[in-house]
Amino acid sequence: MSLDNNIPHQYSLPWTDRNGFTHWSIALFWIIASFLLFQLFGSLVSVILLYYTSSEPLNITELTSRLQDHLELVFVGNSLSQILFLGLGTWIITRLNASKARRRSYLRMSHSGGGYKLYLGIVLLMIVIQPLIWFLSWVNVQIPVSESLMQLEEMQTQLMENFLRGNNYIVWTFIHIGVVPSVCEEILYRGFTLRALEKSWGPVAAIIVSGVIFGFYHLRLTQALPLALIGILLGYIAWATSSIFPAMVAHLVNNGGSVLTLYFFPDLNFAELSPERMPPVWLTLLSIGATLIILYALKYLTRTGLYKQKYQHYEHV
Amino acid sequence: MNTMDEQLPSYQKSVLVGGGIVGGLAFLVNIISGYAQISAEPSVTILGIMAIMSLITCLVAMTGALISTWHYSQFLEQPITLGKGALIGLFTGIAVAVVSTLLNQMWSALNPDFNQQVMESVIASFEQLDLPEEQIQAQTDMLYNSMKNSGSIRGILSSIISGSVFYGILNALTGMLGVKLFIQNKIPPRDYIDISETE
Repeated sequence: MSLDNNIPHQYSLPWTDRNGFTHWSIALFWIIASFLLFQLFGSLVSVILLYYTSSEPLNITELTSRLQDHLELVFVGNSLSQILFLGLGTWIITRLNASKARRRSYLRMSHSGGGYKLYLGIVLLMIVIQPLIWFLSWVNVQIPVSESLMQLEEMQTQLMENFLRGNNYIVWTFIHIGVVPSVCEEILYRGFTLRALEKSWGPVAAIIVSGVIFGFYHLRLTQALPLALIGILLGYIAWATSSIFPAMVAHLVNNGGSVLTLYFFPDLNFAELSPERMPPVWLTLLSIGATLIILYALKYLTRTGLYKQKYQHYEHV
Repeated sequence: MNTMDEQLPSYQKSVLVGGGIVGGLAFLVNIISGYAQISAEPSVTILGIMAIMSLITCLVAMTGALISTWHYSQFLEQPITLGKGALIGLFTGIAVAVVSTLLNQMWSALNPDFNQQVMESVIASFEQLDLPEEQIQAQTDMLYNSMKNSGSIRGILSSIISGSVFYGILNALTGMLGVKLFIQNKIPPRDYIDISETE
């Protein structure tokens, strides 16, 4: 059987292409579906654990009170549902957009060139960008938000602070807040969503849109701008390095950094990290400059590393 | 572009048919459940029944895409993809949201006390629950605010947007089902060559 070389065999195309869907629509559908499933399942698991660990039946008031005293159970539910839906679920859904053999490639689950220097650069990048994030937080605070949303966010911030300051093993705290989100959210956003949007709209739009969605995904409007910046940065890192592993490391440094900061500096006031005063202009400009330099260096490192990987075998000929 | 897509008739009429019929049905279910709520004694059971009625409204709304795809199949001579069915379903869901919101607004204009009576009945049933006073007050305030805004432009737009997203997603799924049920057994035209049949 001979085929016209310009027309791919219909059975070599992934399900999305065979059935007239666009990659971006599948990505949007999965972002919404995974978010709803993650919230529902996480809440369900947390409530079940709260009931299971209680010695007597609880009414709603007692449940709410118990929730405040056992935040670790809430985070267990949160982590389980992230692993199940954001991580594993995305891995399964990718099958719609890519053949089985190309699934890892679609999600950019491959090693980047650049070696240890690349990862050192990533760690440095996440440190130097903090003043810029601080500046965007200040800008975001100037944007008026409804009272009800402000109260919801204050409740979320208080919940997080109580958990970080609680008597929980640092390792578990690091896993819940650092490791799990940095793996699962990266698979969803920089793996699946970035690639799907890239196929439909190109890399620039994909990086920006996936970053903005990431920013609003956390349901914290007063932090949407800095979160979107982090999302865009992580998207760029994944695209430039052709791998989500550097983005995972960057995400881990960002999230894990806050855990370790409060562990080693317990007197630090959480509210001071979300400033209502503008950071020094010189610091912000320095942060922007340093960030751009490091990003350029990372791209160069990756390109050099990938070049070496590609042509390494020729050295032995 | 696929030459098959260029030969397809427009689906706008089918979307309007499906969206109009089901939007009207969803509005009727909403009105019936509202009057049932008003006439019943406040109790916790009523809240459960209202939840079931909301579920029935969703199920009714989901049939919009099935009607649209069935109507569209009358004009087709060739099959269409699931993606096209999902798109028809998405637009049908938006039409359902628009039609049901507009009909609700017309009903509010004809019967201004309807929403107020429904809200008072819901609050009275809510007070039967064994909840803390603060929580009941918070729910009451939320209901009151939503009723206050329901007639404003902002409230109408908010209702259309949230309805479009919700019904759009549901009907996108049933749109795919409709394609499977009504359209994929269509015989393609003679000049369409299935690649799997070539040698």
